[in-house]
Amino acid sequence: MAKILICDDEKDIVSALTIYLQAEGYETVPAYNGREALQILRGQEVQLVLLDVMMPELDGISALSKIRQESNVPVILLTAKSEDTDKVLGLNVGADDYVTKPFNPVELIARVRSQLRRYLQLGGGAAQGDTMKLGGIEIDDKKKTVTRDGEPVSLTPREYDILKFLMQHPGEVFSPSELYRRVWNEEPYGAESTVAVHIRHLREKLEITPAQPRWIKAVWGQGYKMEN
Amino acid sequence: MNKLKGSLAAKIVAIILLAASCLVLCGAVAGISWLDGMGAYRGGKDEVRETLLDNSLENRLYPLMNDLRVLPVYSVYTRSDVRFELLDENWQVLAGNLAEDEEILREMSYPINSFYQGMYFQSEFEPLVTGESLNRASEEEYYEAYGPMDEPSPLPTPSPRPVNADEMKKPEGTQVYFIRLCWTDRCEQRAWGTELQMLEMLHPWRYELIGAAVASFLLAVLLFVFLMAAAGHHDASGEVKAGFVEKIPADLLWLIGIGGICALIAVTGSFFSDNYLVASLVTTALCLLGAGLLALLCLMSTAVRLKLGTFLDSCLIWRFLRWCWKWIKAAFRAIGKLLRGLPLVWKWIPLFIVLMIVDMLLTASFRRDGDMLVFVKLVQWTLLGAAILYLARAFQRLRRGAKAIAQGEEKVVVDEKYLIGDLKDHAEDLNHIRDGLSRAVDERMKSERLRTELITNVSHDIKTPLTSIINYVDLLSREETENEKTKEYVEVLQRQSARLKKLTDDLVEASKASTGNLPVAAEKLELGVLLDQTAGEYGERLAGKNLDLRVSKPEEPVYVQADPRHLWRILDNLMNNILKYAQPGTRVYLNLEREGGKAALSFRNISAQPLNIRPEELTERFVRGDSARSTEGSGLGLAIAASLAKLQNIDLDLSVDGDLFKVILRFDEQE
Repeated sequence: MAKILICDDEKDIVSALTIYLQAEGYETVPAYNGREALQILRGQEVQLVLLDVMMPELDGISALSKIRQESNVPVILLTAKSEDTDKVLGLNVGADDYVTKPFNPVELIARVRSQLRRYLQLGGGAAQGDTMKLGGIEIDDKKKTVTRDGEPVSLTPREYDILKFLMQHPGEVFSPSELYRRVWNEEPYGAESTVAVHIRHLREKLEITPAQPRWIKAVWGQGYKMEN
Repeated sequence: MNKLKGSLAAKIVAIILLAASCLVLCGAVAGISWLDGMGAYRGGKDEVRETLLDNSLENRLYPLMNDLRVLPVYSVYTRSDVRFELLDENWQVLAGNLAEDEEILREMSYPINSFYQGMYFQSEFEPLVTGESLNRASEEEYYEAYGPMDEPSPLPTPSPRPVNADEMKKPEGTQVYFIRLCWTDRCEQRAWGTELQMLEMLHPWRYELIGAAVASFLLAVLLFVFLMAAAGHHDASGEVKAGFVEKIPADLLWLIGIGGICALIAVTGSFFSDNYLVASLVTTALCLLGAGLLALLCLMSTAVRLKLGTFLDSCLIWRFLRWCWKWIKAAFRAIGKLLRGLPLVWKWIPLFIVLMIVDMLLTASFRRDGDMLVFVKLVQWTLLGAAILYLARAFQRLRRGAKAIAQGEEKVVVDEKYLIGDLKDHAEDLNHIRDGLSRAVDERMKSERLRTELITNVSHDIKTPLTSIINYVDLLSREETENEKTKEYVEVLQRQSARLKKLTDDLVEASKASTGNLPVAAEKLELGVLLDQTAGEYGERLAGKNLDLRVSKPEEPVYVQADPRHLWRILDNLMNNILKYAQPGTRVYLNLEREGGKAALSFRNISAQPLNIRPEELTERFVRGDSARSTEGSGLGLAIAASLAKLQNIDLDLSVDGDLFKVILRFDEQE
């Protein structure tokens, strides 16, 4: 089973996380500041790191940049700041994902699982001819199946079409009527809000926290896009 | 050099040398001009000699003519040192004292003008013929012209050469047309000899004379410069000190100096006499020397004053003018102070009276001259108009400044330039108000920023324990328990900790939005798309609450400029509000309309609870309808929405009409 390093200066949080992760069957190693985390990483094989940003001695961002010099182990940042600049900074330094405090245990475990799957199982798997992959989302066009971090997700045919279209054009913004025209192949005539409904369903099925989507993003007043 | 300048002896020597060189210069210049007049610089010595003889002949002409006018010709024969002949139009000799055997050295003939011809000669020649009567008649005239004769001698002897009556040709009424003047061998050498001697003496030195003039001029200039430079130096220290003379005011000194010089020159002119040539010359020289010394004294004293920089101050006139200026200034200042102290109304009354008097005086004095009166009135009204225009402009400036301050602009300065008196005071007061206001605004901004920082930091600190609480409550809820009450309590804990989490997040956001501490990245958006997206996001949830969502929008796209994420946050908050507080079973309207250049997005719903609160209180932080207090949420939703709208210049209009709750967002429409 995978070994996870939990690093936070708050002991109660570390033990709570330990309980959750051990309940899921993971092995855990505690650390209470960045320096300890670095020492443990040098001595042991660890598959994932949960790293608090604000810590004494060596803060999370500095620790992360040191970790990245030696290994590409997945790192999820735990941050109390919800400001976008902190998230961007963390992701730029090399974090794979982030969770803002106070976090929902279910969300955290989902993110841990997602990162571990990608790191352990899908790391080497090359995309086949008829498969498309973006982040943890993978489409097999032959079998018409969608998986998120290896777990199958069931989509309606319309949802599948929209997802496929967006994944074919990553980063591009499509207005609801444009999407309608391209996917339905007919004029919307006031049916644009159906697109929004489908997108919401897609988000609910594919995103860990639909309220803060990581992949299927809405550009308000303009349309929708697939983050690349 | 300083030693030389400080030495009194050197100065005295310099003064003496200066006087001497001036003398030499004068002599040399006189000599040069005399020689030049003789043509000594143009021709040979013989030509000069001839010129000299010609000049001396010419010099004799007018005295001779005068003598001939008043004296009998006979007496003129002997008086004259020059030989002459009077000739008629045929060059026939009428009279003269030239003997035939005389050798003529130089002669010149002149035509005689009509004045001499008609008036005198004709009558004068008459007695010449009769001999005796001539003597008697001429004697009286002689007295008239010359006074009593020096010696009671008999009649002057005839000409140097006896002229007998036969030789004399009778004029017979013929007119004298020409006069011929000659120097002969029998003429006395004295007549031209001195000049000739002078010529003989000076001619060989004529070029040296020029050299002497130049040299003496240069020497004089040099000495003058030295004296000016040395003025005021009394010892070798190189220090300029005021002497005794400098105690006299400069203008007084110059007055005395110029007066003295004029007096001395006048004395020179009046004392000069040919009879006492040597005495005259000595007096003249002394007088000129005195004048020169006086001038030098004045100049040197001026030089000292200029060096010390006390020239103006040592002038009596300057001191007087300065004294006058001081008093004038003081007087004006006193009047100004008096006027400034007066209340505004009292200031204008004398002004009005003065204007009235001036107008009446002008009208009265130009009453008779219509054109002039029109002109004067024109000037008067132009000046008055300018004054009124100035007042109007000043008032306008003050008005604008006050208006800007009233509108809360902080950077406006009322320009005090060109404003005077009370207007200036007023402008200053306005600027002070502005300063105070902007200081207050700055302080408020600072305290707002501090509060935001405090809230943000405290929230971060709260989040850490909150994380533990949420996690352990969650863990607690997973524990198997039969106790229903425990389950119920844990549920409360879960709900309230979730609420606390939302509250902290909203608190940070509300404080940031209200102080404008959020970056705004405006983009071009289509409100129709946004409306569709909103409907898509909330349609099912509203339906789940038994709310009927009705959306309407124009056919054409409506573009606006806004930050998409902030705008979504506003819509999100408003929709969540509707979800929470709308009466189930009613309709919710989302309308997009154009209102003349503005795009209006309205949200309307029926409140489940009576809204016993003013609309503006709803957007105030933590304020909610009383009955809603106990439900979920932080109560900051509308406050955040209002702040974010203000941040993006979107007009958020919130109104309550009975149970109808209405929010309208107004955007500036883009092309």
